[in-house]
Amino acid sequence: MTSVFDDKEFDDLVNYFMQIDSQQPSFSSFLDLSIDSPDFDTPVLGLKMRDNLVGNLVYRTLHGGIIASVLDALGGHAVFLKVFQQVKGEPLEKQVKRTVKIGSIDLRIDYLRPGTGNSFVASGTILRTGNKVAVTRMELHNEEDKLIAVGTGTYTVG
Amino acid sequence: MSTVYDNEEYLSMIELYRSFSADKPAFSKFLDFTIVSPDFDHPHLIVNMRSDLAGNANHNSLHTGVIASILDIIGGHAVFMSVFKQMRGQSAENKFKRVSKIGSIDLRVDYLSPGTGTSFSASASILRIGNKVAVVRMELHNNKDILIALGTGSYTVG
Repeated sequence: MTSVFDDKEFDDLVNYFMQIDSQQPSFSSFLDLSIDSPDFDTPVLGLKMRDNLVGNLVYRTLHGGIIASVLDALGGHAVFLKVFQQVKGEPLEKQVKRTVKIGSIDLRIDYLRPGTGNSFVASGTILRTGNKVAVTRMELHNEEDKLIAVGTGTYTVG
Repeated sequence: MSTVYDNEEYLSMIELYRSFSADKPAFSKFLDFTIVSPDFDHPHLIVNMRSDLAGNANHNSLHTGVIASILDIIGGHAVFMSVFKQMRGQSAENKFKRVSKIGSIDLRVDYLSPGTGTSFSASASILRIGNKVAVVRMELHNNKDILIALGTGSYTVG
């Protein structure tokens, strides 16, 4: 099976950010999402259920903030993949300079079901990318393929 | 000056929740915020900046997922306090059963400025609370009183 990690250039760019993160763990390290995107047009992130992601201790469901964070990350990842395709072939520094400018402008989440499950998959599509702003749609499913939440996000493209 | 912490009924409910959640890790424990609400109508919490709440590209500012999480939490807290007010006089168990059903329906976040600062203050006001659903507006400011993000959320009332 192919994934975006078969692309050496992409691997280098991701490793650059991972290395910064390993020196000083950020919130992304805490979330610990796996990049499962099969190709550059299909952003997919995976999340495993853990105790410190729980929101409602009575029902043991994902925290609403975690659901929002994962969907926000997926939208950002979708834009990252898109921008990477545009800067592919350029030196690493240029790719870094461009992709660090990706940032959230707004985010809307609809929580459809309680976040129960052992693992979760976030996926999405880019509705539109311009030179400055991109708009994405995001979805979160659990391992039983139940749709837990949907989101719409706006991001600066860099 | 009176705070919600002078209210014995409130304290006994919080105590019940603490004894239930003591040995259970949850996302809110990771965020490590402090609730500083002056009264039941002014939900207010404070979070201090930490490197593991930062975004990975920019280590000086809050991760946008953390911003969404904090706004989701202060909105839920506003509903919690409002439900508590309605249930005054009832047993702590009854109140606990009811408030454990409070959950997010949707969340909209507008990111206005980068989340830089040493500490952040989140506040909320309830626009409408019915028997089933509440709609809340939320704000996040930094220690220099710059407005970082705005949110609107709806919650099940329990």
